[in-house]
Amino acid sequence: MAGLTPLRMIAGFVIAGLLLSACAAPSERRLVSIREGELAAGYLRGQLLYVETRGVRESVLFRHDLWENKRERIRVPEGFADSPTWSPDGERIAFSLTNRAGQSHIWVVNEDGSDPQQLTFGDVVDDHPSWAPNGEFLVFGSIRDGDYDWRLFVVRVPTSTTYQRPMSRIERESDEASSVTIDEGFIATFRDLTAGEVRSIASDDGHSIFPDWSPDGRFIVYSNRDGANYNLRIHDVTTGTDRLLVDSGGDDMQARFAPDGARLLYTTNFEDDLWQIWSHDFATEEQTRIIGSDSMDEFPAFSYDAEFIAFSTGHLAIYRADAEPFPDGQLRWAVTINLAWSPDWKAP
Amino acid sequence: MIQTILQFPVVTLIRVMLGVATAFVLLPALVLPRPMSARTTLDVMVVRGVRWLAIALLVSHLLVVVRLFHAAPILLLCAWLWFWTRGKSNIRTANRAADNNIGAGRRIPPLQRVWLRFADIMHLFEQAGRGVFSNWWANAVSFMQNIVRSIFSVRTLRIAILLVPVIAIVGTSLALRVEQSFRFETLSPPDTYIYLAWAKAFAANQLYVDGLYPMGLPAFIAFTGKLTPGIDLYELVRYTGAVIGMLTVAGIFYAVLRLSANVGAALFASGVFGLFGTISQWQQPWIRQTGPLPQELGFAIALFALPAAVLAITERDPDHLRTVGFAAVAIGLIHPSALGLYLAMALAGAIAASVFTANGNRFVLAVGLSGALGGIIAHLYLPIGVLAGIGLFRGLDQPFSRAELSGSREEQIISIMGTSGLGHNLFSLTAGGAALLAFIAAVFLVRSARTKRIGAQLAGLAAIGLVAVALYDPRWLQIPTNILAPLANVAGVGLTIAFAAGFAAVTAVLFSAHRPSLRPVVRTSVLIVLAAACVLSFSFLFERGPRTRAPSEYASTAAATREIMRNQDAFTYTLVGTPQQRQAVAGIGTFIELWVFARDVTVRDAQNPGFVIPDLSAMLFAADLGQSLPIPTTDTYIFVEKVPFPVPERPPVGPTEEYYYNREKRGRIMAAVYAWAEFYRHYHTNMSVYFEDDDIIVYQMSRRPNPVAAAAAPQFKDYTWQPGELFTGGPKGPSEVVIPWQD
Repeated sequence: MAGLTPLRMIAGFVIAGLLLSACAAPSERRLVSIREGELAAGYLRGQLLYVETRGVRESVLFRHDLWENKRERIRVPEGFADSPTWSPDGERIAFSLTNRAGQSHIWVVNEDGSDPQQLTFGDVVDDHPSWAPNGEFLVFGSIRDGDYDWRLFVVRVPTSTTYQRPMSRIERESDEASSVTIDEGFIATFRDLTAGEVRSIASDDGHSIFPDWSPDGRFIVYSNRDGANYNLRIHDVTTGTDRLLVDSGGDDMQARFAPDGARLLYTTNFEDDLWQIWSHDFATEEQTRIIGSDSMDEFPAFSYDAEFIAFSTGHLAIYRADAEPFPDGQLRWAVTINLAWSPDWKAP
Repeated sequence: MIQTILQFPVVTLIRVMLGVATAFVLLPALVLPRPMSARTTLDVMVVRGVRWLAIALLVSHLLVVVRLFHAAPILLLCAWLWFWTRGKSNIRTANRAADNNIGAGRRIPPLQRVWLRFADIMHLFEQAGRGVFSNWWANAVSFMQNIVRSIFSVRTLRIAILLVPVIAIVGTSLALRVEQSFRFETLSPPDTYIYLAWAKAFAANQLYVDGLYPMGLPAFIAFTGKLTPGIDLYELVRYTGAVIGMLTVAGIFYAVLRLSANVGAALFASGVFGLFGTISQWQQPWIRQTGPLPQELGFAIALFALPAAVLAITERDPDHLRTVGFAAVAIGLIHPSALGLYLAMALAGAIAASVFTANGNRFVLAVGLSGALGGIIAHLYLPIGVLAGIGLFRGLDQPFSRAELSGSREEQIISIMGTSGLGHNLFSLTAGGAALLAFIAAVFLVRSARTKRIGAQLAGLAAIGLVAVALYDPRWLQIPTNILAPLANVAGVGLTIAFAAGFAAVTAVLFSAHRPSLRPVVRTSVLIVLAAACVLSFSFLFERGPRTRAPSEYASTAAATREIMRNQDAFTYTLVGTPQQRQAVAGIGTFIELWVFARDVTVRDAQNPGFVIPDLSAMLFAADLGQSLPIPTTDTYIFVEKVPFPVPERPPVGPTEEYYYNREKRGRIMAAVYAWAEFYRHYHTNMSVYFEDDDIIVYQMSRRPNPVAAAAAPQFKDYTWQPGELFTGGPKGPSEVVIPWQD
């Protein structure tokens, strides 16, 4: 066979194989859209506080009236405002504010942003305040006193009026007494605190952060890391004792009590490193997954009647407590972190 | 085990060389017809290679335009099948012999020819069964026996011994050029990273991603990549530089050998450049011989094609003109300064040969027209691209900012050159003298009818060398300085041709005068020994400079990057690093510039255990993104230089120069990211140290982003340059950062 020498033929087949093996189309990436949902007015009651980031050094606090579906900016001093939380009477808002020097302090303002008061001072990093149910104290995490671990501290909030817990809508409508009664013991613990004075509590080793005060005031749940991961611990304010609450094997953080104090929500990443929202039931001591989307679900907060859960999943999302998205999936708001649902009485 | 062996540097180099050989020697041999002007097997290989390169580059560009470059292997396969089945009249099978409708002078359609060829193979098996393989085996064994016999026969043993200096020179030249690739995983010089990124883009059917610029080198790399399976483009680029460097050496050898027919001169010229390319007098920085750069590739192709311009005159064979034209296309697609040099040298050689033969004026014009036509074809991308709305690459429309080029024109040129200043010296003047000597010898040679052609060719060679001498100091050319410098860089290589012409002249005169009847084998032996002696003596004549490297990152940085790329699936990781790492992971992983990361993170965030770098789902809902920092992948690797890499300082003409080629700002960026990472690691549980040595530290951060959002947008950062506003204060390096809990 002229022209088809064995050598040429072998070379030909080698080339053919080589070419075919190299003929792989480059992978192409497709743009995938995500379904967006808009919240209509008249579906939900209450007001949400949340933070919208504006770059890394500035943020904006918003108060969103869910019933009217309108939001209003709360003007606070310049800096990166974070971790807003309603006072129990819904009149004031506590938050942390980071200045250009990287110092963070706890501030309190009225709900419209007026009368800003700085509660903590100095070269410190204070964050994640949580109100005591009587509105007189705030517990918060802090890096201070030359210690580079997070610790929990309590500060008294200056107030000129005598606090009286308002009646909830449910209570008003049902004429039943509240199932939550404030434990007077914790008030006694901090009675001698003067305004602006801070006191350390729950002096565990490692980092202690994300405190949340129970509705009856007796307990403070918080995250503690004394090893590889953050666990949830609960501190009894009246006795000063402390115990492990949740140790999932991952990081357990951002715990928030339900309005009745019978359970709490928290964020954990023990399953496949994916941040999900779980619930801990104090009666059964069982943990249940509430929300586990494909995104990083963080900063959960119960609504006043515990029927809904708001959380941040890059944007703000509201689900029914039984984990059904409401009303139409996600709300189309900007990058949100650290949100808080208003106390029940603010519902119309 | 096999994978480990395949990753050995030597094996990788061999695979790359085989890939280049397959792409530009074997494939053209299978597809292109034998050039009519070729005299020897070497000629056939070279001419086919040059023509094939032009075709391959042009077709590659067209395939990318129609987004079908990934189908190039299929087209090559079709081309090969077409060549393989060209012998259409060769009827073999019984069916074909019986069927009068097939063959018998009728033109068989191409597809049918393919099937008939396969039918021929089946027919072979039908006839001989397993005997086909035994026949092939017998042929192969016989072939090998012939080679062994020829090597060890008494007669060729002498030649084999004489090949020792040749092998030594080639081996040493290759070893010198590949040494850096063996020792370091970094690419050098820094430009190489750009060509790596462009080659990746080219392979993904993207052309002129950064504006109009000759894409010949990326096309060369991408095309070779199609024929080196199992080697990614990074490895290919890493070793292609040495291959291109050796192409230059081989090109010098071929050009001199073809025009002077003097193996000694060819060996001397290629050997002296192969071994002593480091000396400052070459004006060819050593790093340019070790990394794949377009000027060098273009000039290497020019060296192979230059003989055609002279031979077109002396042999009066129009087929040489095709080679001249094809080469102009290939070189033009690779780099304009190499094309200009090639055209100047080709014309000079042709004119000189024409003068000495006194009968080639028409062919000189044809050489000029062929070259010009090739150059025009090669540069069609410019008007087409401009019409298509593609801007010029920054280096073309605004070569260097005024801030960068201060001082006199001479100072600017020297600044760009980065090596010794321009201007003639003993080295270039000696080369000029050698070329003049060759002209004188040519005058004597052309007087005899027997040596007239070789005399004219020697004159052509000398003229080519003289162009190199003239452009060694190109300040007399009123062209932009950014073109002038690379022109002088590459022209310096051409001085070897002038030296070779002088060598050829002296030996030709010696042999003609004293030993006209010397036997060829003795003559060759004398020439080789003489050349080897000249190469060795060369090292004593001129000052040697240190061999330079121009890495732009630590070797461990490149090694860690490569390891991450090997261990992680595509697009499951993000590198936070310098532009070099950006090019390395382009098309494979996502990337964030270190300066952008340093701009957008705060230690305060790092202190917050609740802070998680968001994924892209946030971006899809955000009205005002600001400078938020989403990262779309599960793993993020943050590269920090504990000791900022000692980069050469460059004027701040862009963010790369301001942030990475300013040592102070580079140090501040590293300090900021180092502080952030150390604080983050202290307060978070999802960060660990992936790699650390004395120079760098690589942090690994893992979290699970939304997979849908992660795939949504590749370009998610604000890279707006804010000249002079960022990194104006703070620690000047990680060593100045105080981490309180560390000793």
